[in-house]
Amino acid sequence: MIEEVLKSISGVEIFPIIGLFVFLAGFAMVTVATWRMKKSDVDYASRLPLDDGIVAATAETETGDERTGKGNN
Amino acid sequence: MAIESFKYDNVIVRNFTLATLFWGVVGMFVGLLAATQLFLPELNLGFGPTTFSRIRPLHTNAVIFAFVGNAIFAGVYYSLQRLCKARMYSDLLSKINFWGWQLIILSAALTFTNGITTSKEYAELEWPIDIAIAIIWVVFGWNMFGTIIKRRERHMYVAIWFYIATFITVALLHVVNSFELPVSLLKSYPLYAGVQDALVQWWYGHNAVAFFLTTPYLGLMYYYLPKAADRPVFSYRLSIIHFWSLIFIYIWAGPHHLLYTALPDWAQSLGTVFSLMLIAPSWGGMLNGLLTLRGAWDKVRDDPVLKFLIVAVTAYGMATFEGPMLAIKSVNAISHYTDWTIAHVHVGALGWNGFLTFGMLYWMVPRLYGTKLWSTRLAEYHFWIGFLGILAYAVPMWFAGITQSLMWKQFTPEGLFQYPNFLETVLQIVPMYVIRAAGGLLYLTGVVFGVVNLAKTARQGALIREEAAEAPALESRHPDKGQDSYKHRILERKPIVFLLVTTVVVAIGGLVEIVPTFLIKSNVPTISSVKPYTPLELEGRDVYVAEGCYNCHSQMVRPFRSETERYGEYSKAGEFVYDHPFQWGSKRTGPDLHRVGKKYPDAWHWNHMIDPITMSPGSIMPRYPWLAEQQVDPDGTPAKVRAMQKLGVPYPEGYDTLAVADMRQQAEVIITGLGDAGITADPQSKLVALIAYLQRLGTDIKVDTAAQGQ
Repeated sequence: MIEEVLKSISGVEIFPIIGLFVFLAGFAMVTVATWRMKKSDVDYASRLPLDDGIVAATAETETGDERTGKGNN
Repeated sequence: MAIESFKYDNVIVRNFTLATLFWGVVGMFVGLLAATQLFLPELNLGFGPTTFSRIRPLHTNAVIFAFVGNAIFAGVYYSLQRLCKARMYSDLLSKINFWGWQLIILSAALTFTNGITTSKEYAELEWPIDIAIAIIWVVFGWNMFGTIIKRRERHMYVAIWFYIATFITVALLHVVNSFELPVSLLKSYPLYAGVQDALVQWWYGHNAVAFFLTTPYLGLMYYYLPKAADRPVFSYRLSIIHFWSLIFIYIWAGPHHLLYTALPDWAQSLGTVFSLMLIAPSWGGMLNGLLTLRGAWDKVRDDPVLKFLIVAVTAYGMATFEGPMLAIKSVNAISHYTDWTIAHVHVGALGWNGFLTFGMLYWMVPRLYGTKLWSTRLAEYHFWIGFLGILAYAVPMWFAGITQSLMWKQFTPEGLFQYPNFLETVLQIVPMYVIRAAGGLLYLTGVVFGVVNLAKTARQGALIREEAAEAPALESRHPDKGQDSYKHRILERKPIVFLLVTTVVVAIGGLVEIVPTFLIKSNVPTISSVKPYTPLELEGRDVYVAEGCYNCHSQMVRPFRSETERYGEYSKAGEFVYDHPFQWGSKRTGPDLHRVGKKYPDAWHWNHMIDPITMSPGSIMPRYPWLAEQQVDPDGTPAKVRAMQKLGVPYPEGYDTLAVADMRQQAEVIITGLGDAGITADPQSKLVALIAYLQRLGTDIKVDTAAQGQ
């Protein structure tokens, strides 16, 4: 019954096989590339959210008042 | 290097935050109403705009695009500026993005409640609104890329890759799934039919989960979790590998929504295999998030922000393990069409998306207002109530799903159904619907706590509208150029190249899975006895679509004995070739309808739609009395026939001029029969058209029992 519903199409299996090979090749390349990264580059990139700009001492608030103090970043 | 001064725009972040909170409460309240209607059907009120089948898509769209969508924009607009050390490219584009998105949401509320829908899940909005979505999405992308290009930090942090992948893939999904032919200002038919429509829809539907609910939130996680924990992410190398793996593999998983349906077997197998492969990159992201807190778990004890974020990441891990399990055919044979799918969705939605949203907001809002969170204790209450809510939601739904499925499949030793009446399986799980609704109420209560807490926080502080910052200007030539320590670094400096590479990666899966179904005819074998719908049946089909019947009823008999015995012959791909859009459904709150044609007399359908409990005592189905009073517009029928002809449905040439007469003739037959049963019906009523459609379902093929020697 299932064979009747789900017909196989001759030759179509080549496409997902190609897709799998494309993925495996890409995965291997990315893995090798990241393996070879310098630690300093990795550390720099991973700290980016923590060092996202020197905030100036003053900021304009909703009331228009000047507020002094360090920013929150 | 010169130090440049500039200001971050916090107003747009504030605006998106307000919208997130507002639509979160609205969307979850609608969900709670829908959940309650399943055990108190009188809450449908016998009124179209409040009926379950119209408000369910309102709930899904509100929580996905209104709540999560606005949260994405809030989080992206805040984090992108700071990761790029640059103000958003254009304040005007920011405003257009904000107001455009809210108008789209309002249009959804107005159209869905009035039965204006395409019936394609998470893409129910009709064509004019689809165009608006495309425009606003381009505005968002333009603003985002403009900001990235004028950045002062050359390296694009991993969060930005996820934002880029989200932008381009959502654009691709939306455009391809929205190819439709307008019939009128508020009605269209999709270009695709039947099997192809199902495949494109679930390529879209699953990747809406992937690239709207997952990748942007992974980006937000990669920013806000390190910020909240005050430590860098566990492994930047892992983030590179899991990013590319995730965006490549995810696209292929769509067919796991169509297992054991009439979709070709090879496509189903692809969906299963790639869904299982997806565990690896998904868990790569989860582990990267959880291990960021290695050695600092004590912080979670006292910080509600970290509690929300860590439970969110854990829920992500749970959902991304459960999902691949559900994509295994033998598991899917039990889970499909049941509440197990609903449980799975909500672990992800409430845990991953909901909790990450509030973790982000609890961290971000005090900083927007230059103050501290108004009440840490209230945030803790929110966390625990919400957590209990998630458990009280998911656990009964797991029980309900498995209970109902096993009841559908149970045979007596004599080979008869143990539960021949579908309604028995529904009533068995109603107590679980009650507990689920209680879980939803707990979760919504927690959200309300959050809204109060954040509102009080805003009131005790003052919005820092323009947050001053300084950063060195970008050098025109990168000092490492020519000496790149790794090749991926090149991509991380070039946003347009990154965008193009991402586009190629995400396009591959869709092309491989979808194109053959169009080019290779044997994927969808034609059946000579299958004919186009008559004009009256076409109008009735549009009523079925408008009322959202697909939300509770499937039209796909799977090739299992338990289904063929209950419903009839299993559904074949060739039966759906004229179905624009397909109506296979994804949930059976009510029985499958694909073989309902000629099972019951017209009068049964009339009475059942007016008040279901007259025909099925104890039924939880809503009443649809307005269908007997509202009329089909015959002036619009010829245009519908012509539209179908343009889409390849083989109506005879010139048939549109005969359509109305044909429709009236068929309606007269139905109302004569209804009259014999003592029912006075308007031949132009929507209910007569709907009956014509229902009586046609599944009758194009007939199993000749005499020829089979039975």
